[in-house]
Amino acid sequence: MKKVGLLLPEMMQHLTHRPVTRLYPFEKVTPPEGFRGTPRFKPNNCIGCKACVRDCTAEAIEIDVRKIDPPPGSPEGTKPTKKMVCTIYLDRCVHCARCVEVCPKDALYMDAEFEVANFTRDALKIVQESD
Amino acid sequence: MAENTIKIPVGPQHPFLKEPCKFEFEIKGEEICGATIRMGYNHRGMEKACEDRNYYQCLYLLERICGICSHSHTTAFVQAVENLLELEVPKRGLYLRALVCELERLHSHLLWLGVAAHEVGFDTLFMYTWRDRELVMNILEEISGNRVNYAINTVGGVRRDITADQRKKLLEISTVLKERLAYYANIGTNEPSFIARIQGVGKMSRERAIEKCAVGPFARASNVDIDVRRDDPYGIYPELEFKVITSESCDILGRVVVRVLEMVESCKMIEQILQKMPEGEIAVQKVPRRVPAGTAVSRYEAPRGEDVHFVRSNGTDKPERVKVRAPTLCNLEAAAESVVGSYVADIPIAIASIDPCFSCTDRMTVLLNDNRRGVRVATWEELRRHGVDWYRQNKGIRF
Repeated sequence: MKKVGLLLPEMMQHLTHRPVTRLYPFEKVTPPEGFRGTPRFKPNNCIGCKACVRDCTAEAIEIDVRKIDPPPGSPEGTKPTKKMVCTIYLDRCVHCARCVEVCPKDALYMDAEFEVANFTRDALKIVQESD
Repeated sequence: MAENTIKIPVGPQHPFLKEPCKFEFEIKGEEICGATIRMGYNHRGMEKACEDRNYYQCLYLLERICGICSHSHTTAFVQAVENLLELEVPKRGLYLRALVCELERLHSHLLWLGVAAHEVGFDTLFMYTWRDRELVMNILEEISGNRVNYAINTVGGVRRDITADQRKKLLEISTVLKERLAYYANIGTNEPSFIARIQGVGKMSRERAIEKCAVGPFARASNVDIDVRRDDPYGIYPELEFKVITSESCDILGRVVVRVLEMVESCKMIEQILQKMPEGEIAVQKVPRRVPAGTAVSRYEAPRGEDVHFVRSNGTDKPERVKVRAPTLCNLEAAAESVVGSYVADIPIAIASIDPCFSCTDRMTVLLNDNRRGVRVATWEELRRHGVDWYRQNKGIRF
């Protein structure tokens, strides 16, 4: 049965409604809890196992484990310390959070930031070093 | 080419196409008498890339085959890998997978309904359906952490559980959507301007749909009663009650009706899933990284139709071969045939009626020497020699 003006009641309702869309970016959007935003490192927690490097599908993580010899004058037998240089290439990242899942020491976490776009790739290369 | 006909090429880049694909329509006046397809403009080499990655990397790579049915591709792949590993996935994990699957079907069909309305110039319906789609997208974002690539699957189960609050929201959304879908079904079958554009357009008979191996809602709208969820059940589908919707009208109106009613079934399934979901683990705790040598095929009912994944493992942590057969590949030939007999103005909606996804479909590109049409593959050396000869003959330049 064909009826003319079926949409009219719905359209009339919308005359008094406020728009469904938001004026982004003037009106900010808060992502829900558990949103997979941007991966971040906590280099001090990192043990250099590279489980995240092995499972990253976009090859966006690099971890450089550097040996630092004890300073001259240290007592004999002092072992060299390790320093982690953790790099994330946010331009390659696909935000799957697999790295966060496999990390045994919680050295990676996802924050809620989603506005990471930039004009240069260099600005998206995040390098962090452990103390 | 028959007498008094002309060929019009459409694509690879064309305003009515959302993704690159080339069509050649043979027309006589305004009527279409033939159509051919040429694909292969969107090849991304994903199958080959899988051979260089471990199973977990493949999972998140294959998720990016398609933006709409991302969960379908991961589930199909994960089912094949779990089959090879002989893993028994916890019941709650399977229920959560099915939940995301049905939510994905809802958002995909709502998207299609909007696109179909847009293609026939009915933008009001397009706006309303996409507004309602946001309800589904928002809950998917809450459940999985992302709007499009949910990444909820992992080998041996799922990665996240749902909370009591999310469960409540899902039930609310299901109630709202059922009400909205009843309204869309009313518009789809009663609004005169919409019906005038879709009734009797893009005809595909049941026999031809079977011959052309059509799948999914497109085949069901041609009264072909197929659905992998019922015919070859996977996951928890044997425990759910649902109807396979078919239509006898064999045209675009039928495809609208089938999809709208399928969404209603999905809403009912979501309610059943939430009701029946058992407590317990959501994933297998210890999953071996190395997969024993073997082959596995997995079938999955994606929103667009049957999705098939083939995985061959060789005992390492990387697959030896991954093959993806997306539903659009089956439907494209049939879609090109369904255009025949319609008018030129019906091309966009007739092609869009299969919900085509060319980036899903383009798995390999093979160039053949086609002497009949004067097309052949030239090597770099041949091209160079041709260039030198051409300039010598036409411009008198000697290199």
